[in-house]
Amino acid sequence: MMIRRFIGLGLMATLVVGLGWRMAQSSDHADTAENVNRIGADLTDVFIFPNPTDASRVVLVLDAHGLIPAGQGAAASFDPQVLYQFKIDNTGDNIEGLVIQARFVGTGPNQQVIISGPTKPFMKGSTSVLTRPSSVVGRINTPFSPAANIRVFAGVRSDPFFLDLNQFYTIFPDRMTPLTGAHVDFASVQAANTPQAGGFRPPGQAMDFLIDLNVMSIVIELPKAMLGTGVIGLWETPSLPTGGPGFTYKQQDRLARPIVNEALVTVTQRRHEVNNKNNPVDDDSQLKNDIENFLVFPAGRSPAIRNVIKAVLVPDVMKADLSQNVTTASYLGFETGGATGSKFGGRALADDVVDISLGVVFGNIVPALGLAPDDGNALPTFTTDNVGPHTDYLNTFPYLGAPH
Amino acid sequence: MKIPRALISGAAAIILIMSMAQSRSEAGFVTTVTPTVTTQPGGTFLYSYSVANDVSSTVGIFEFNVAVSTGSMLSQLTAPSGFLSLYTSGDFAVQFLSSDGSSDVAPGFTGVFSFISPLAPGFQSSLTRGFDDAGGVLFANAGTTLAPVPEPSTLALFAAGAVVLSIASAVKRRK
Repeated sequence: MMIRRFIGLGLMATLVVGLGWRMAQSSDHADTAENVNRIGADLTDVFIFPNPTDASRVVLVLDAHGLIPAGQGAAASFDPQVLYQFKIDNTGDNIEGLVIQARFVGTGPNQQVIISGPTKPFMKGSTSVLTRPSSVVGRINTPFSPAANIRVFAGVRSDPFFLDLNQFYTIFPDRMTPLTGAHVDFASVQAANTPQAGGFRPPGQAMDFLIDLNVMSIVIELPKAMLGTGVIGLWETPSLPTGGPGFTYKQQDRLARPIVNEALVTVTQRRHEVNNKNNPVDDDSQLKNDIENFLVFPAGRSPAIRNVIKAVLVPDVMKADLSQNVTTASYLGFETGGATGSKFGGRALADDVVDISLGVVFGNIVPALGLAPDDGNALPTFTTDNVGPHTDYLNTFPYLGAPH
Repeated sequence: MKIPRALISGAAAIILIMSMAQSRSEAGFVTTVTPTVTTQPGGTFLYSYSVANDVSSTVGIFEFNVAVSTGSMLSQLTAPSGFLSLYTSGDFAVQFLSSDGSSDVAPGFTGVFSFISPLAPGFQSSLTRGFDDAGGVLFANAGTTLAPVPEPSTLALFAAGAVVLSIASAVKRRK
Protein backbone atom coordinates (compact mmCIF):
# COMPACT_ATOMS: atom_id res chain seq x y z
CA MET A 1 0.00 0.00 0.00
CA MET A 2 2.70 2.45 1.04
CA ILE A 3 4.79 1.55 -1.98
CA ARG A 4 1.83 2.14 -4.26
CA ARG A 5 1.27 5.54 -2.69
CA PHE A 6 4.87 6.50 -3.18
CA ILE A 7 4.64 5.35 -6.79
CA GLY A 8 1.43 7.31 -7.19
CA LEU A 9 3.02 10.41 -5.73
CA GLY A 10 6.05 9.93 -7.92
CA LEU A 11 3.93 9.56 -11.03
CA MET A 12 1.94 12.61 -10.10
CA ALA A 13 5.06 14.64 -9.45
CA THR A 14 6.48 13.53 -12.78
CA LEU A 15 3.24 14.34 -14.48
CA VAL A 16 3.02 17.79 -12.96
CA VAL A 17 6.59 18.61 -13.92
CA GLY A 18 6.28 17.00 -17.32
CA LEU A 19 3.18 18.93 -18.17
CA GLY A 20 4.69 22.20 -17.09
CA TRP A 21 2.43 22.36 -14.02
CA ARG A 22 -0.65 21.79 -16.13
CA MET A 23 -2.63 20.98 -13.09
CA ALA A 24 -5.97 19.31 -13.32
CA GLN A 25 -8.98 19.15 -11.18
CA SER A 26 -11.68 20.20 -13.60
CA SER A 27 -14.85 18.14 -13.51
CA ASP A 28 -13.59 16.07 -10.61
CA HIS A 29 -10.00 15.37 -11.49
CA ALA A 30 -7.76 15.13 -8.42
CA ASP A 31 -10.15 17.00 -6.16
CA THR A 32 -8.65 15.92 -2.84
CA ALA A 33 -5.11 15.17 -1.74
CA GLU A 34 -6.27 11.72 -0.75
CA ASN A 35 -7.48 11.06 -4.28
CA VAL A 36 -4.29 12.42 -5.78
CA ASN A 37 -2.41 9.91 -3.66
CA ARG A 38 -4.68 7.12 -4.89
CA ILE A 39 -5.25 8.28 -8.43
CA GLY A 40 -6.95 5.03 -9.49
CA ALA A 41 -9.76 5.83 -7.06
CA ASP A 42 -10.15 9.38 -8.31
CA LEU A 43 -13.34 9.83 -10.30
CA THR A 44 -13.24 12.43 -13.04
CA ASP A 45 -16.61 12.39 -14.85
CA VAL A 46 -20.04 10.76 -15.07
CA PHE A 47 -22.07 10.47 -18.26
CA ILE A 48 -25.41 8.93 -19.12
CA PHE A 49 -26.92 9.22 -22.59
CA PRO A 50 -29.09 7.18 -24.96
CA ASN A 51 -27.58 5.06 -27.69
CA PRO A 52 -27.49 7.56 -30.60
CA THR A 53 -29.30 5.15 -32.92
CA ASP A 54 -31.42 3.09 -30.52
CA ALA A 55 -33.59 4.92 -28.02
CA SER A 56 -34.26 1.71 -26.11
CA ARG A 57 -30.66 1.51 -24.92
CA VAL A 58 -28.72 3.73 -22.56
CA VAL A 59 -24.99 4.27 -22.03
CA LEU A 60 -23.37 4.84 -18.65
CA VAL A 61 -19.79 6.07 -18.38
CA LEU A 62 -17.53 6.17 -15.34
CA ASP A 63 -14.25 7.99 -15.82
CA ALA A 64 -11.45 7.69 -13.28
CA HIS A 65 -7.68 8.08 -13.08
CA GLY A 66 -7.38 11.13 -15.27
CA LEU A 67 -4.29 12.96 -16.46
CA ILE A 68 -2.76 10.02 -18.31
CA PRO A 69 -0.36 11.67 -20.77
CA ALA A 70 -0.51 11.02 -24.49
CA GLY A 71 1.40 7.89 -25.44
CA GLN A 72 1.18 6.33 -22.00
CA GLY A 73 -2.26 4.79 -22.27
CA ALA A 74 -1.02 1.37 -23.32
CA ALA A 75 0.60 0.84 -19.93
CA ALA A 76 -2.38 2.08 -17.94
CA SER A 77 -4.80 -0.15 -16.09
CA PHE A 78 -7.36 0.17 -13.32
CA ASP A 79 -6.53 0.05 -9.63
CA PRO A 80 -7.20 -3.63 -8.85
CA GLN A 81 -8.11 -2.93 -5.23
CA VAL A 82 -10.85 -0.46 -6.06
CA LEU A 83 -14.51 -1.37 -6.31
CA TYR A 84 -16.04 0.94 -8.94
CA GLN A 85 -19.80 1.35 -8.76
CA PHE A 86 -22.58 2.91 -10.77
CA LYS A 87 -25.37 3.62 -8.31
CA ILE A 88 -28.89 4.09 -9.58
CA ASP A 89 -31.89 5.38 -7.67
CA ASN A 90 -35.00 4.31 -9.54
CA THR A 91 -37.55 5.11 -6.86
CA GLY A 92 -36.87 8.77 -6.11
CA ASP A 93 -35.54 8.32 -2.58
CA ASN A 94 -31.94 9.17 -3.56
CA ILE A 95 -30.78 5.79 -2.28
CA GLU A 96 -29.32 3.29 -4.67
CA GLY A 97 -31.88 0.70 -5.68
CA LEU A 98 -29.55 -0.82 -8.26
CA VAL A 99 -25.80 -1.02 -8.63
CA ILE A 100 -23.42 -2.04 -11.37
CA GLN A 101 -20.06 -3.03 -9.95
CA ALA A 102 -16.68 -3.36 -11.63
CA ARG A 103 -13.63 -5.00 -10.16
CA PHE A 104 -10.29 -5.64 -11.82
CA VAL A 105 -7.82 -8.46 -11.27
CA GLY A 106 -4.16 -8.11 -12.10
CA THR A 107 -2.48 -5.15 -13.73
CA GLY A 108 -1.30 -4.19 -17.19
CA PRO A 109 -2.70 -5.00 -20.61
CA ASN A 110 -4.10 -8.38 -19.56
CA GLN A 111 -6.00 -7.04 -16.59
CA GLN A 112 -9.27 -8.90 -16.06
CA VAL A 113 -12.60 -7.10 -15.87
CA ILE A 114 -15.30 -8.47 -13.57
CA ILE A 115 -18.78 -6.95 -13.80
CA SER A 116 -21.87 -7.49 -11.73
CA GLY A 117 -25.33 -6.06 -12.14
CA PRO A 118 -27.40 -4.15 -12.57
CA THR A 119 -28.65 -5.70 -9.37
CA LYS A 120 -29.94 -4.74 -5.97
CA PRO A 121 -27.01 -3.96 -3.68
CA PHE A 122 -26.37 -6.12 -0.63
CA MET A 123 -25.45 -3.01 1.34
CA LYS A 124 -26.42 0.61 0.65
CA GLY A 125 -24.59 3.83 1.37
CA SER A 126 -20.89 4.48 1.78
CA THR A 127 -20.05 0.90 2.81
CA SER A 128 -20.38 -1.77 0.14
CA VAL A 129 -19.88 -5.45 -0.43
CA LEU A 130 -19.50 -7.29 -3.68
CA THR A 131 -22.59 -8.56 -5.41
CA ARG A 132 -22.84 -11.65 -7.54
CA PRO A 133 -20.49 -11.23 -10.53
CA SER A 134 -21.03 -12.34 -14.08
CA SER A 135 -19.22 -15.55 -14.95
CA VAL A 136 -17.99 -13.88 -18.13
CA VAL A 137 -14.69 -12.19 -17.37
CA GLY A 138 -13.40 -9.60 -19.82
CA ARG A 139 -10.08 -7.92 -20.44
CA ILE A 140 -9.35 -4.22 -20.43
CA ASN A 141 -9.40 -2.31 -23.68
CA THR A 142 -11.56 -5.01 -25.27
CA PRO A 143 -15.36 -4.77 -25.50
CA PHE A 144 -17.22 -7.76 -24.14
CA SER A 145 -20.67 -8.84 -23.04
CA PRO A 146 -20.91 -9.99 -19.42
CA ALA A 147 -24.61 -10.78 -19.83
CA ALA A 148 -27.26 -10.79 -22.52
CA ASN A 149 -27.82 -7.35 -24.08
CA ILE A 150 -25.10 -5.71 -21.97
CA ARG A 151 -21.92 -4.37 -23.57
CA VAL A 152 -18.92 -3.31 -21.55
CA PHE A 153 -15.72 -1.53 -22.39
CA ALA A 154 -13.19 -0.83 -19.65
CA GLY A 155 -9.90 0.73 -20.59
CA VAL A 156 -8.04 3.84 -21.56
CA ARG A 157 -9.72 6.47 -23.73
CA SER A 158 -9.31 10.09 -24.69
CA ASP A 159 -10.58 12.21 -21.79
CA PRO A 160 -13.83 13.71 -23.11
CA PHE A 161 -13.92 16.62 -20.67
CA PHE A 162 -13.02 20.15 -21.68
CA LEU A 163 -12.24 23.23 -19.58
CA ASP A 164 -9.81 26.12 -19.37
CA LEU A 165 -8.43 24.65 -16.21
CA ASN A 166 -5.42 26.89 -15.86
CA GLN A 167 -7.69 29.91 -15.68
CA PHE A 168 -10.06 28.14 -13.33
CA TYR A 169 -7.14 27.57 -10.97
CA THR A 170 -6.04 31.15 -11.39
CA ILE A 171 -9.50 32.24 -10.30
CA PHE A 172 -9.79 29.75 -7.43
CA PRO A 173 -6.31 28.62 -6.30
CA ASP A 174 -7.88 26.74 -3.39
CA ARG A 175 -9.15 24.11 -5.85
CA MET A 176 -5.60 23.48 -7.05
CA THR A 177 -4.06 22.66 -3.70
CA PRO A 178 -4.83 18.90 -3.68
CA LEU A 179 -2.13 18.43 -6.30
CA THR A 180 0.46 19.04 -3.62
CA GLY A 181 -0.53 15.61 -2.30
CA ALA A 182 -1.29 17.05 1.12
CA HIS A 183 -4.33 18.80 2.45
CA VAL A 184 -3.95 22.61 2.37
CA ASP A 185 -6.33 24.99 4.09
CA PHE A 186 -6.93 28.59 3.18
CA ALA A 187 -7.63 31.00 6.03
CA SER A 188 -11.38 30.56 5.69
CA VAL A 189 -14.04 29.31 3.33
CA GLN A 190 -14.59 32.90 2.18
CA ALA A 191 -10.88 33.35 1.49
CA ALA A 192 -10.91 30.11 -0.49
CA ASN A 193 -13.92 31.31 -2.48
CA THR A 194 -12.51 34.74 -3.27
CA PRO A 195 -11.77 34.99 -7.02
CA GLN A 196 -8.17 35.90 -7.77
CA ALA A 197 -8.94 36.97 -11.35
CA GLY A 198 -11.69 38.92 -13.02
CA GLY A 199 -13.03 36.08 -15.09
CA PHE A 200 -12.20 33.48 -17.71
CA ARG A 201 -9.95 34.18 -20.66
CA PRO A 202 -11.42 35.37 -23.97
CA PRO A 203 -11.62 33.19 -27.09
CA GLY A 204 -8.21 32.77 -28.61
CA GLN A 205 -6.52 32.91 -25.24
CA ALA A 206 -8.56 30.22 -23.48
CA MET A 207 -6.93 26.78 -23.50
CA ASP A 208 -8.44 23.31 -23.24
CA PHE A 209 -6.27 21.65 -20.64
CA LEU A 210 -7.49 18.10 -21.31
CA ILE A 211 -7.33 18.15 -25.09
CA ASP A 212 -4.53 15.57 -25.30
CA LEU A 213 -4.87 13.65 -22.04
CA ASN A 214 -6.37 10.22 -21.41
CA VAL A 215 -8.56 8.70 -18.74
CA MET A 216 -9.61 5.23 -17.61
CA SER A 217 -13.21 4.65 -18.67
CA ILE A 218 -15.82 2.07 -17.84
CA VAL A 219 -18.53 2.24 -20.51
CA ILE A 220 -21.65 0.15 -20.08
CA GLU A 221 -24.47 0.00 -22.62
CA LEU A 222 -27.66 -1.83 -21.77
CA PRO A 223 -31.42 -1.72 -22.32
CA LYS A 224 -33.02 1.19 -20.48
CA ALA A 225 -35.53 -1.24 -19.07
CA MET A 226 -32.80 -2.83 -16.96
CA LEU A 227 -32.54 0.42 -14.98
CA GLY A 228 -36.13 1.57 -14.88
CA THR A 229 -38.92 3.11 -16.87
CA GLY A 230 -39.04 6.64 -15.50
CA VAL A 231 -36.69 9.16 -13.92
CA ILE A 232 -33.53 7.77 -12.40
CA GLY A 233 -30.74 9.36 -10.41
CA LEU A 234 -27.18 8.22 -11.15
CA TRP A 235 -24.01 8.70 -9.15
CA GLU A 236 -20.74 6.81 -9.09
CA THR A 237 -18.29 5.78 -6.40
CA PRO A 238 -14.90 4.13 -6.04
CA SER A 239 -14.41 2.25 -2.79
CA LEU A 240 -11.38 0.71 -1.12
CA PRO A 241 -11.31 -2.63 0.70
CA THR A 242 -11.25 -2.63 4.48
CA GLY A 243 -9.94 -6.19 4.79
CA GLY A 244 -10.96 -8.41 7.66
CA PRO A 245 -12.97 -8.95 9.67
CA GLY A 246 -15.76 -7.21 7.73
CA PHE A 247 -14.38 -7.50 4.18
CA THR A 248 -16.32 -4.47 3.09
CA TYR A 249 -15.45 -1.56 0.78
CA LYS A 250 -15.36 2.04 2.00
CA GLN A 251 -16.34 4.88 -0.31
CA GLN A 252 -13.44 7.13 -1.35
CA ASP A 253 -15.05 9.51 -3.81
CA ARG A 254 -18.51 10.32 -5.13
CA LEU A 255 -19.51 12.03 -8.34
CA ALA A 256 -22.64 12.82 -10.29
CA ARG A 257 -23.15 16.33 -11.62
CA PRO A 258 -19.97 18.03 -12.78
CA ILE A 259 -18.80 21.41 -11.45
CA VAL A 260 -20.78 21.11 -8.22
CA ASN A 261 -18.59 19.76 -5.44
CA GLU A 262 -15.53 20.55 -7.53
CA ALA A 263 -16.17 24.20 -8.32
CA LEU A 264 -18.75 25.47 -5.86
CA VAL A 265 -17.20 23.81 -2.82
CA THR A 266 -13.85 24.64 -1.29
CA VAL A 267 -11.06 22.23 -0.61
CA THR A 268 -10.50 24.20 2.59
CA GLN A 269 -11.83 22.54 5.74
CA ARG A 270 -11.95 19.24 3.84
CA ARG A 271 -15.29 20.13 2.30
CA HIS A 272 -14.60 18.10 -0.86
CA GLU A 273 -13.63 15.10 1.20
CA VAL A 274 -16.77 15.30 3.33
CA ASN A 275 -19.00 15.37 0.28
CA ASN A 276 -16.98 12.70 -1.49
CA LYS A 277 -17.45 10.24 1.35
CA ASN A 278 -21.09 10.70 2.18
CA ASN A 279 -24.24 9.95 0.22
CA PRO A 280 -26.83 11.90 -1.77
CA VAL A 281 -29.20 11.76 1.20
CA ASP A 282 -26.57 13.72 3.16
CA ASP A 283 -26.38 16.54 0.62
CA ASP A 284 -29.25 18.46 2.16
CA SER A 285 -27.25 18.99 5.35
CA GLN A 286 -23.76 19.23 3.85
CA LEU A 287 -23.40 20.04 0.14
CA LYS A 288 -26.40 22.38 0.22
CA ASN A 289 -24.66 24.63 2.76
CA ASP A 290 -21.52 24.70 0.64
CA ILE A 291 -23.51 25.75 -2.42
CA GLU A 292 -25.36 28.38 -0.41
CA ASN A 293 -22.03 29.85 0.74
CA PHE A 294 -20.77 30.09 -2.83
CA LEU A 295 -23.97 31.58 -4.20
CA VAL A 296 -23.87 34.29 -1.53
CA PHE A 297 -20.20 34.95 -2.16
CA PRO A 298 -18.67 35.22 -4.70
CA ALA A 299 -21.75 34.72 -6.93
CA GLY A 300 -23.88 37.30 -5.04
CA ARG A 301 -27.18 35.80 -6.12
CA SER A 302 -30.57 36.72 -4.72
CA PRO A 303 -32.30 34.37 -2.27
CA ALA A 304 -34.82 33.44 -4.97
CA ILE A 305 -32.14 32.44 -7.45
CA ARG A 306 -30.17 30.67 -4.75
CA ASN A 307 -33.19 28.59 -3.84
CA VAL A 308 -33.77 27.55 -7.44
CA ILE A 309 -30.14 26.52 -7.92
CA LYS A 310 -30.04 24.58 -4.68
CA ALA A 311 -33.29 22.83 -5.56
CA VAL A 312 -31.75 21.73 -8.85
CA LEU A 313 -28.30 20.72 -7.61
CA VAL A 314 -29.25 19.06 -4.31
CA PRO A 315 -29.08 16.14 -3.94
CA ASP A 316 -26.15 15.59 -6.24
CA VAL A 317 -27.43 12.89 -8.58
CA MET A 318 -27.49 12.93 -12.37
CA LYS A 319 -31.13 12.87 -13.38
CA ALA A 320 -32.19 11.08 -16.55
CA ASP A 321 -35.73 10.44 -17.73
CA LEU A 322 -35.74 6.98 -19.25
CA SER A 323 -39.34 7.38 -20.40
CA GLN A 324 -38.19 9.81 -23.09
CA ASN A 325 -38.05 8.05 -26.45
CA VAL A 326 -35.06 10.03 -27.69
CA THR A 327 -31.51 9.44 -28.81
CA THR A 328 -29.91 12.53 -27.31
CA ALA A 329 -29.04 13.61 -23.80
CA SER A 330 -28.67 17.11 -22.47
CA TYR A 331 -27.16 18.14 -19.15
CA LEU A 332 -29.87 19.55 -16.83
CA GLY A 333 -32.40 18.81 -19.56
CA PHE A 334 -34.69 16.97 -17.20
CA GLU A 335 -34.55 19.66 -14.52
CA THR A 336 -35.24 22.47 -17.03
CA GLY A 337 -37.98 20.72 -18.99
CA GLY A 338 -35.73 20.36 -21.99
CA ALA A 339 -34.47 23.95 -22.08
CA THR A 340 -30.89 22.74 -22.47
CA GLY A 341 -31.76 20.48 -25.38
CA SER A 342 -33.39 17.19 -24.40
CA LYS A 343 -35.88 16.20 -21.73
CA PHE A 344 -33.90 13.01 -21.27
CA GLY A 345 -31.40 15.01 -19.22
CA GLY A 346 -28.35 13.02 -18.27
CA ARG A 347 -25.13 14.20 -19.82
CA ALA A 348 -23.72 13.70 -23.31
CA LEU A 349 -20.00 13.63 -23.97
CA ALA A 350 -20.12 16.92 -25.87
CA ASP A 351 -22.36 18.77 -23.41
CA ASP A 352 -20.68 21.99 -22.35
CA VAL A 353 -21.37 21.39 -18.69
CA VAL A 354 -18.93 24.09 -17.67
CA ASP A 355 -20.75 26.83 -19.56
CA ILE A 356 -24.16 25.51 -18.50
CA SER A 357 -23.09 25.45 -14.85
CA LEU A 358 -21.37 28.82 -15.00
CA GLY A 359 -24.41 30.26 -16.73
CA VAL A 360 -26.67 28.97 -13.96
CA VAL A 361 -24.45 30.21 -11.14
CA PHE A 362 -23.08 33.47 -12.55
CA GLY A 363 -25.37 34.20 -15.50
CA ASN A 364 -29.01 34.75 -16.36
CA ILE A 365 -30.12 31.19 -17.09
CA VAL A 366 -32.40 30.94 -14.04
CA PRO A 367 -34.18 34.28 -14.68
CA ALA A 368 -34.34 33.54 -18.41
CA LEU A 369 -36.22 30.32 -17.68
CA GLY A 370 -38.68 32.27 -15.57
CA LEU A 371 -37.73 30.38 -12.44
CA ALA A 372 -36.79 33.47 -10.42
CA PRO A 373 -36.66 37.24 -10.94
CA ASP A 374 -33.49 38.73 -12.37
CA ASP A 375 -31.38 40.00 -9.50
CA GLY A 376 -29.10 42.08 -11.71
CA ASN A 377 -26.08 40.36 -10.23
CA ALA A 378 -24.88 38.33 -13.19
CA LEU A 379 -21.13 38.31 -13.71
CA PRO A 380 -20.66 37.91 -17.50
CA THR A 381 -16.90 37.34 -17.37
CA PHE A 382 -17.51 34.18 -15.34
CA THR A 383 -20.27 32.66 -17.48
CA THR A 384 -18.14 30.87 -20.08
CA ASP A 385 -14.62 29.50 -20.18
CA ASN A 386 -14.60 29.85 -23.97
CA VAL A 387 -13.54 26.24 -24.51
CA GLY A 388 -15.65 23.91 -26.64
CA PRO A 389 -16.14 20.15 -27.01
CA HIS A 390 -13.47 17.83 -28.33
CA THR A 391 -13.79 16.46 -31.85
CA ASP A 392 -12.81 12.84 -31.22
CA TYR A 393 -16.07 11.46 -29.81
CA LEU A 394 -17.39 8.36 -31.58
CA ASN A 395 -20.92 7.62 -32.78
CA THR A 396 -20.53 3.98 -31.88
CA PHE A 397 -19.55 2.01 -28.80
CA PRO A 398 -17.53 2.86 -26.71
CA TYR A 399 -18.25 6.44 -27.79
CA LEU A 400 -15.23 8.02 -26.11
CA GLY A 401 -12.40 8.80 -28.48
CA ALA A 402 -9.36 6.58 -28.99
CA PRO A 403 -6.54 7.29 -26.56
CA HIS A 404 -3.92 9.87 -27.50
CA MET B 1 10.98 -17.98 8.33
CA LYS B 2 13.86 -20.38 7.76
CA ILE B 3 13.41 -22.12 11.05
CA PRO B 4 9.91 -23.41 10.36
CA ARG B 5 10.74 -24.35 6.76
CA ALA B 6 13.66 -26.45 7.96
CA LEU B 7 11.50 -28.09 10.51
CA ILE B 8 8.74 -28.79 8.08
CA SER B 9 10.72 -29.99 5.09
CA GLY B 10 12.99 -32.07 7.26
CA ALA B 11 10.11 -34.07 8.58
CA ALA B 12 8.46 -35.10 5.34
CA ALA B 13 7.88 -34.01 1.80
CA ILE B 14 4.40 -32.93 2.62
CA ILE B 15 3.34 -32.47 6.18
CA LEU B 16 0.12 -31.35 7.62
CA ILE B 17 1.03 -28.33 9.63
CA MET B 18 -2.21 -27.60 11.30
CA SER B 19 -5.85 -28.30 10.87
CA MET B 20 -8.09 -25.89 12.62
CA ALA B 21 -11.78 -26.27 12.02
CA GLN B 22 -13.88 -23.34 13.11
CA SER B 23 -17.63 -23.33 13.08
CA ARG B 24 -19.49 -20.07 12.74
CA SER B 25 -23.14 -19.43 12.67
CA GLU B 26 -25.87 -16.94 12.54
CA ALA B 27 -29.51 -17.85 12.34
CA GLY B 28 -30.05 -19.76 9.14
CA PHE B 29 -26.40 -19.87 8.14
CA VAL B 30 -24.05 -22.34 9.83
CA THR B 31 -20.63 -22.82 8.26
CA THR B 32 -17.35 -24.45 9.19
CA VAL B 33 -13.98 -23.45 7.78
CA THR B 34 -11.26 -26.07 8.03
CA PRO B 35 -7.87 -24.81 6.87
CA THR B 36 -5.12 -27.20 5.90
CA VAL B 37 -1.61 -26.01 5.19
CA THR B 38 0.96 -28.28 3.58
CA THR B 39 4.48 -27.68 2.38
CA GLN B 40 5.24 -27.82 -1.29
CA PRO B 41 8.43 -28.51 -3.19
CA GLY B 42 10.48 -25.34 -3.20
CA GLY B 43 9.41 -24.31 0.23
CA THR B 44 6.04 -22.87 -0.65
CA PHE B 45 2.83 -23.57 1.21
CA LEU B 46 -0.44 -24.90 -0.10
CA TYR B 47 -3.37 -23.39 1.73
CA SER B 48 -6.58 -25.30 1.38
CA TYR B 49 -9.90 -24.37 2.99
CA SER B 50 -12.78 -26.77 3.23
CA VAL B 51 -15.79 -24.55 3.74
CA ALA B 52 -18.75 -26.60 4.85
CA ASN B 53 -22.30 -25.35 4.79
CA ASP B 54 -24.28 -27.10 7.47
CA VAL B 55 -27.40 -28.95 6.45
CA SER B 56 -29.36 -26.67 8.78
CA SER B 57 -28.47 -23.57 6.76
CA THR B 58 -31.19 -21.94 4.73
CA VAL B 59 -28.92 -20.35 2.11
CA GLY B 60 -25.88 -21.30 0.08
CA ILE B 61 -22.36 -19.94 0.46
CA PHE B 62 -21.72 -17.43 -2.29
CA GLU B 63 -18.58 -15.70 -1.02
CA PHE B 64 -15.48 -16.73 0.92
CA ASN B 65 -12.84 -14.21 2.01
CA VAL B 66 -9.45 -14.68 3.61
CA ALA B 67 -7.16 -11.87 4.75
CA VAL B 68 -3.56 -12.36 3.66
CA SER B 69 -0.36 -10.44 4.02
CA THR B 70 0.26 -7.98 1.20
CA GLY B 71 3.44 -9.88 0.41
CA SER B 72 1.70 -13.23 0.05
CA MET B 73 2.12 -13.44 -3.75
CA LEU B 74 -0.65 -16.01 -4.07
CA SER B 75 -0.70 -18.29 -7.07
CA GLN B 76 -2.65 -21.26 -8.42
CA LEU B 77 -5.92 -20.13 -6.88
CA THR B 78 -8.67 -22.73 -7.12
CA ALA B 79 -12.31 -22.63 -6.17
CA PRO B 80 -15.46 -24.67 -6.74
CA SER B 81 -16.94 -24.49 -10.22
CA GLY B 82 -18.80 -21.25 -10.79
CA PHE B 83 -16.70 -19.23 -8.34
CA LEU B 84 -14.42 -16.38 -9.45
CA SER B 85 -11.15 -15.70 -7.65
CA LEU B 86 -10.36 -12.04 -7.01
CA TYR B 87 -6.75 -11.47 -6.08
CA THR B 88 -3.97 -9.27 -7.36
CA SER B 89 -0.46 -9.40 -5.96
CA GLY B 90 -0.29 -6.81 -3.21
CA ASP B 91 -3.90 -7.26 -2.09
CA PHE B 92 -4.51 -7.85 1.59
CA ALA B 93 -7.36 -10.27 1.00
CA VAL B 94 -8.41 -12.91 -1.45
CA GLN B 95 -12.07 -13.13 -2.37
CA PHE B 96 -13.95 -15.97 -3.98
CA LEU B 97 -17.40 -15.21 -5.37
CA SER B 98 -20.05 -17.42 -6.85
CA SER B 99 -21.40 -16.11 -10.13
CA ASP B 100 -24.71 -17.89 -9.95
CA GLY B 101 -27.02 -19.19 -7.27
CA SER B 102 -26.71 -22.67 -8.70
CA SER B 103 -22.95 -22.50 -8.06
CA ASP B 104 -23.28 -21.60 -4.38
CA VAL B 105 -22.12 -24.17 -1.83
CA ALA B 106 -25.52 -25.50 -0.90
CA PRO B 107 -26.54 -26.56 2.62
CA GLY B 108 -25.10 -29.98 3.37
CA PHE B 109 -22.18 -29.50 0.97
CA THR B 110 -18.56 -28.43 1.21
CA GLY B 111 -16.55 -26.23 -1.11
CA VAL B 112 -12.77 -26.29 -1.28
CA PHE B 113 -10.77 -23.14 -1.95
CA SER B 114 -6.99 -23.11 -2.21
CA PHE B 115 -3.89 -21.19 -3.19
CA ILE B 116 -0.13 -21.36 -2.87
CA SER B 117 2.05 -18.80 -1.13
CA PRO B 118 5.72 -18.59 -0.21
CA LEU B 119 4.72 -17.28 3.21
CA ALA B 120 4.12 -19.48 6.22
CA PRO B 121 0.81 -19.48 8.06
CA GLY B 122 -0.45 -17.32 10.86
CA PHE B 123 -3.85 -16.34 12.09
CA GLN B 124 -5.91 -14.09 9.83
CA SER B 125 -9.52 -13.02 9.46
CA SER B 126 -11.90 -14.88 7.23
CA LEU B 127 -15.50 -14.32 6.31
CA THR B 128 -18.10 -16.52 4.70
CA ARG B 129 -21.16 -14.94 3.18
CA GLY B 130 -24.40 -16.50 2.11
CA PHE B 131 -27.11 -14.89 0.08
CA ASP B 132 -30.79 -15.54 -0.21
CA ASP B 133 -31.46 -14.60 -3.83
CA ALA B 134 -35.20 -14.79 -3.38
CA GLY B 135 -35.42 -12.75 -0.20
CA GLY B 136 -32.43 -10.52 -0.85
CA VAL B 137 -30.98 -11.26 2.58
CA LEU B 138 -27.22 -11.36 3.20
CA PHE B 139 -25.73 -13.67 5.81
CA ALA B 140 -22.16 -13.52 7.12
CA ASN B 141 -20.02 -15.61 9.42
CA ALA B 142 -16.70 -14.08 10.48
CA GLY B 143 -13.81 -15.78 12.20
CA THR B 144 -10.11 -16.49 12.06
CA THR B 145 -8.24 -19.03 10.04
CA LEU B 146 -4.73 -19.84 8.88
CA ALA B 147 -3.36 -17.72 6.08
CA PRO B 148 -0.02 -16.36 4.87
CA VAL B 149 1.50 -14.03 7.46
CA PRO B 150 5.14 -12.94 7.57
CA GLU B 151 4.63 -11.41 10.99
CA PRO B 152 6.21 -12.34 14.32
CA SER B 153 3.10 -14.32 15.11
CA THR B 154 4.19 -16.80 12.47
CA LEU B 155 7.53 -17.29 14.09
CA ALA B 156 5.82 -17.66 17.44
CA LEU B 157 3.55 -20.33 16.00
CA PHE B 158 6.44 -22.32 14.63
CA ALA B 159 8.56 -21.75 17.67
CA ALA B 160 5.80 -23.35 19.67
CA GLY B 161 5.75 -26.22 17.19
CA ALA B 162 9.52 -26.59 17.46
CA VAL B 163 9.30 -26.80 21.23
CA VAL B 164 6.66 -29.52 20.96
CA LEU B 165 8.76 -31.48 18.45
CA SER B 166 11.87 -31.13 20.59
CA ILE B 167 10.07 -32.39 23.67
CA ALA B 168 8.61 -35.29 21.71
CA SER B 169 12.04 -36.16 20.35
CA ALA B 170 13.61 -36.00 23.81
CA VAL B 171 10.91 -38.25 25.25
CA LYS B 172 11.44 -40.73 22.42
CA ARG B 173 15.21 -40.85 23.01
CA ARG B 174 14.74 -41.53 26.73
CA LYS B 175 12.51 -44.47 25.91
